[in-house]
Amino acid sequence: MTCIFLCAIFLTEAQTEQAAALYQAGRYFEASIAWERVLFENNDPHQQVAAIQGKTECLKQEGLFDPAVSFLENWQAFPFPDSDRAGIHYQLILCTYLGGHFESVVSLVDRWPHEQAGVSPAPLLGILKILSLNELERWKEAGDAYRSFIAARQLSAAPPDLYTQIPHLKSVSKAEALSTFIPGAGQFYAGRPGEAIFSILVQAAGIYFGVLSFEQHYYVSAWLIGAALFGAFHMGGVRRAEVLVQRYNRKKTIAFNEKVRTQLLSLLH
Amino acid sequence: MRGNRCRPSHTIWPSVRLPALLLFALLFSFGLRAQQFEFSKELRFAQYLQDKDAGPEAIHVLERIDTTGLSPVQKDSLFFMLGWAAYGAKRLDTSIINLLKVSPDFPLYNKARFFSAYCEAFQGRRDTAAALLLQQQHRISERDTTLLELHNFELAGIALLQRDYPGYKEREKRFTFSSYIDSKEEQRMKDYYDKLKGFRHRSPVLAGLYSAIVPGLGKFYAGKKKQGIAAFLPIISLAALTYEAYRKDGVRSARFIGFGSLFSVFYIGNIWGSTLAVKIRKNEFYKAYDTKILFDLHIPLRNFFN
Repeated sequence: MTCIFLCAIFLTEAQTEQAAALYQAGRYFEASIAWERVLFENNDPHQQVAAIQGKTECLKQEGLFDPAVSFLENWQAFPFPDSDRAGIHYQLILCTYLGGHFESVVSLVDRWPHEQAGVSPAPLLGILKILSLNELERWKEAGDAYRSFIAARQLSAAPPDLYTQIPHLKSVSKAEALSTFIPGAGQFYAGRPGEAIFSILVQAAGIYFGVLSFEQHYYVSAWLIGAALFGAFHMGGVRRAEVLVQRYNRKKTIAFNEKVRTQLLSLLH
Repeated sequence: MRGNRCRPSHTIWPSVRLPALLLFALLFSFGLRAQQFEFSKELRFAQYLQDKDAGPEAIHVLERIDTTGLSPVQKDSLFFMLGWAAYGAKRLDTSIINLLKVSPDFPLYNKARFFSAYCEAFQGRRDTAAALLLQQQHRISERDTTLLELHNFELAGIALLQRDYPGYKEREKRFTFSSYIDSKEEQRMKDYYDKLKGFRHRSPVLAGLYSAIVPGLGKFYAGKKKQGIAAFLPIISLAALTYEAYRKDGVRSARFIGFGSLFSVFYIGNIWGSTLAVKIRKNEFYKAYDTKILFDLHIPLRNFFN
């Protein structure tokens, strides 16, 4: 009996070492299977938690964030000790964020006090919630969470409040309307004057050709070339203005998020 | 002297031989049991991975099992599991190779054969699929009416995929339309046959001719109505521009030559496109029905074997 017990311990240790070695060698797929083998052959919660963490790391390295979320969700209800369950919950939030499911990140962070009562959340989770709220453009909530986070750090000198200058995002419908009634105006509004001038020129060229052809009694050419050119570039201009505003907003959000992330992460050290 | 030297070893050997043989037998049996234990453990692990939808991981585990010391039954189990895992992971060629390695003595031999035939059909190798199922025929007991019906149904479906309509009709005669595993699919297969048989083959020459008379009409005739309209509008516009240039500036004008050339390119291109549209439409029609047939061939297989 003692012999079997000792054998099992040595076997598990060998498997764990093999999985860790594969991970170190960058062979994440094989390492992930090796960790799964530890889970399959082991009933020791300690070893199981180590294997869950190991496999999660492998999946993260492979960029498989959604499978990592599914994997962690399956183990979430397992009766591990509180600290281990909190560790799984933490990884779950991290993978959900990396997978780009920002609504779920906010929900998972908010559920922490109910599901992990007595275990204080890691500060990084607060940052993930703030960044997720930024991504969702819920600026007020993000600002409140940001200020609570700064206050909780109890710093001697508070850093500058970044939420006094939240990004001013432009309206897509406004850009559309502008381009519909004033050619090129939507592009100007989106901050792309070069494209605006080009749009004005090609639409004007269409009209000019149409009018000129009409005056010279080329009626078919006036309609089929002049009017068609103008119509095509006009509709394209409206659509382009919409895309440009979306790009502008995304760029602004990313830049702001980057600033917030850099500041908050610097506060952790 | 020589005889004297040999004698002591002769006297010792009988006393050592028995324990040595026993030890060898024990070690051999232990080694064999350890190998069997290791094999079944690997198989269980692969099954565990498959249950967790980790097909590629299961394949990786099964492919690393050394088959040299395995018994035929163990090999069958391994090949079947590997084939099934590959089938689940949509690696159909790997699946076929392994499922076909399963020997007739294996209890899931029929399943392996039917699914490998299905995979062959799915991969577009319809003749091989039919041949595999026909080889299987003599192994099915006359009393196993459900399996016989399924076998007949699969062959009928493959005949439709091959566009072998008389072959299908021959098989359809044996449809009961009442089997719990494929009654609906048999009915649908009958509908597919009617639709495929009733497909009107258009003439590419006629389509080209129609487009020469009225631009886009050939595509309309081929069954590509939207494309027909889309072709008609620019060609008519170019024709109008060419006519205007001719009327106002004459044949030698740059305007007429420019628009005329453009019109000619579009006009001829549309005639050529109309002849191709007939073939494209036909391929699309057959592809849509192939997908339906393959889907309906799959459902009874899963109903019966799973």
